[in-house]
Amino acid sequence: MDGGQKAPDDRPVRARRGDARAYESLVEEHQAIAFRTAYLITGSAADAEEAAQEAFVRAWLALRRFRRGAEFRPWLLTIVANEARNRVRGRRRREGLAERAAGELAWQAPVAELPLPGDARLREALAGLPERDRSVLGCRYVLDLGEAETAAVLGIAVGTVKSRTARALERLRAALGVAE
Amino acid sequence: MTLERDLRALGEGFPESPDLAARVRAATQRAGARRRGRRRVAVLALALFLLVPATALAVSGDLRERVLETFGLRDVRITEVTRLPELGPDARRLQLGPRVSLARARRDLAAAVSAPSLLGAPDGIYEQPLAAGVEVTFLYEPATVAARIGVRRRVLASIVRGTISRTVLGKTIAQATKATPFTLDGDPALLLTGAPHMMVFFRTGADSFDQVYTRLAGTTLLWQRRGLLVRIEGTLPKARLIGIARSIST
Repeated sequence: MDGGQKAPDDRPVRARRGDARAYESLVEEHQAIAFRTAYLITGSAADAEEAAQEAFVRAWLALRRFRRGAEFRPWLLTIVANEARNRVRGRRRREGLAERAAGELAWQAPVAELPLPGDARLREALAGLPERDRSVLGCRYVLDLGEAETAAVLGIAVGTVKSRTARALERLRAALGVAE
Repeated sequence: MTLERDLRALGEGFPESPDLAARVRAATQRAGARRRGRRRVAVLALALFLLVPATALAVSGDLRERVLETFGLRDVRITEVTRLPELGPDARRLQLGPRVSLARARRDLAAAVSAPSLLGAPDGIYEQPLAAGVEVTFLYEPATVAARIGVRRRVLASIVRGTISRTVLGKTIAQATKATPFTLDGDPALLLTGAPHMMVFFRTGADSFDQVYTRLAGTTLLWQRRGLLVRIEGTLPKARLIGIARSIST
């Protein structure tokens, strides 16, 4: 063993071959982050729950397309984010609101508006940031996702995650009047 | 790093994550069943049929071999062509075979079928002999259908029994015909809508396949149900066709 190197997770492959227990284990491990990601996008616990559940079903149906040896979590979170966005769009349509013309992510729930604890001043400053800044900070820090996972959720390149995170932090510091 | 730490602290107040495992397990089981059903229908609709041009439906040894190759499937083959071949005047005729009694139809079909209760008593019961059995058709003329369900359309409700090794029902569809596979009560079904399609019955003789008849058919629901192929033909909405099919007691 070369120590330190993690063995590839064989559960997706086993699940693809019909091992229900393997997939159940994946669900148990990832349900919290799936729910949180969906919650951050939809801003609704009920929608997030449905989106996460549906995403797990879609992921299971798509296991044949899962690349052997790849990380399951970023792949799953991409599906979760898509499902959550679809629910936001559907809700907007139902509510008769116009679709946003642009933006790669319908980031419906600005972190600042979520009923989360924390510094009220920080939340207010977040609310004043552009949506793309809020979304990248939400993924990187509130959800504590890695850069690759953030890229998967937002549908952008890892390099873009890095540069966007740096700019967003800069703007947030400026809004709060604090130095780096 | 205070700012980053403060941002992370926002994440500590998420609502409690629900336990999804049991619900996902149930949902994947349902999805798996649906997918298996769709696969079966997709095989019926796509793996399909004798890859011969519609203009070359004359039975040949090669065609026979291809039919034999597909014996694992049941009852219906669909082939898609750019356009249907020219058909003679007979193709416009129903060609349902001789009129028979319900008792005779049941005996020959070896099933206690009854006419679709949704439409009531038919205008006629017909039987098309096939080498390995028969096709029984309950015929409803437009006036009868109008009196029963308020829509003036002719409806044919047909039932075929027989393994694919003995009887083949072929359907040739042009690109303007839409074939929609779906699952009906857990069994494969197929809805053919749009332009009329060509229906071909084959029967097998001792050492050859013979084409029994060819005719044009309109909107049709096909439903493989417990070893019988139920076919409802009539220009009606899908839900109505399904209702009629379900009301056939087999």
